[in-house]
Amino acid sequence: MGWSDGLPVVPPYRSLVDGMLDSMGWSADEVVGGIEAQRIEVGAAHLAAAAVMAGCRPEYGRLLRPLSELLVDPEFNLSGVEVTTGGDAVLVVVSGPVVDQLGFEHQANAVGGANCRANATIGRFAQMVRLFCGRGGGVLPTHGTMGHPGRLSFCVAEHPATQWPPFHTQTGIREDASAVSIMAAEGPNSVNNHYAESAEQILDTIADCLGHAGATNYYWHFGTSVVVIGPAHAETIAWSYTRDDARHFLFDRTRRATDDLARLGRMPAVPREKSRVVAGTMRSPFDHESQIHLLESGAPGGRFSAVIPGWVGNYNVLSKVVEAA
Amino acid sequence: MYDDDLVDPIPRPNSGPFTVRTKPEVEEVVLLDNGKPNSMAILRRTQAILRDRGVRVKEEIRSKPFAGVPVDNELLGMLAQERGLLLCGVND
Repeated sequence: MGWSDGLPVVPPYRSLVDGMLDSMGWSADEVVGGIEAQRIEVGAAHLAAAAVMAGCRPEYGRLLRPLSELLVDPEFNLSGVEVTTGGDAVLVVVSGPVVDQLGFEHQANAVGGANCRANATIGRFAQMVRLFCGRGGGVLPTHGTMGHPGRLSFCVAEHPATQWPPFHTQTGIREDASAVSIMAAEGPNSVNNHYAESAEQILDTIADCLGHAGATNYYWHFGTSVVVIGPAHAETIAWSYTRDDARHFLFDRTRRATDDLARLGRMPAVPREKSRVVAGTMRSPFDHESQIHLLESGAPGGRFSAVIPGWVGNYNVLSKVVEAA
Repeated sequence: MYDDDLVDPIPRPNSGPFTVRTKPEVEEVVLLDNGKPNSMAILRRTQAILRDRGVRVKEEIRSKPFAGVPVDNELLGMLAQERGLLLCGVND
């Protein structure tokens, strides 16, 4: 029946699904969204069943509801995320007071493999919705060339106390709120810098990772990226940079020569007009610094950060408020 | 432990009945550019090769606005009116 992501699942017995529907605040026959091009309506019962199968606790319902609404928002292009050759996953970011309230791990192995129920199951829920709803009812094959482990679960929680305003303020949500955000994402890249003494050294190292020669966005240049700043790096950067200043610095330094990218075969022989390939210029994978989102997470001790590149077919990080219990 | 039924997590398409033609009504190839970087270049080359082999190919190649999104209804409607064999360009 195709009812699994490859791992064992909790059977979606109606009694369990009804309990999940209740916690999400929906009735079984409600339609939450749809994929018009595939004539698919996504019902509350489909989403609640996926939440049960992923192993979510009923108390996660107040977060699963806005997360579900984001996943079926046409702007997110859920089907495209599932079937693209890019092999992408749904990155879920949780920020604000709900991080502590629902018991998310935001320190050790925060970007993946935190071995924490909230991170693991809510991240898995998002991938299951992508899998179950993105294939046109099982009609469409996925074309992911490589994929990555986040396609099983990918949820990062921000520290409740941050150097800069919370992650969701970058998407227009008020500072004191709890929020859930999503972005279609490639796999994370680790950024190690243990001996830098300045913000610029760390930011330049991150920019090098954002703009490595194989970065997908170089051709289309309208995707987004999330940079997870570890606490040691965040402390050093925040001594001398606001978050907006740091985003601007990263945008400014994430560049490679167009001619060099062409030499490497990163530009097609006949580029399309809207990709704006201009020989002899420097090229960025971003059009604007607002496409770079900074997230504070991870354990103290090591001096690591991580770059999570977004998918080019999905232009924004989308966020919604998580209502208080 | 549980004796109740299972809830299907997968939404199914609710489109009505439709007809699929497995044989083109006319011997003509119609090309669709899916918006990938090299798609148009491949299709123009395909067009030239097919014509060299005596196959009739429509000159106009319609394009999706972007590779990452489905064909919109307007374009889909136009393509449905085509009576030849439809080929879609692929390649990053």
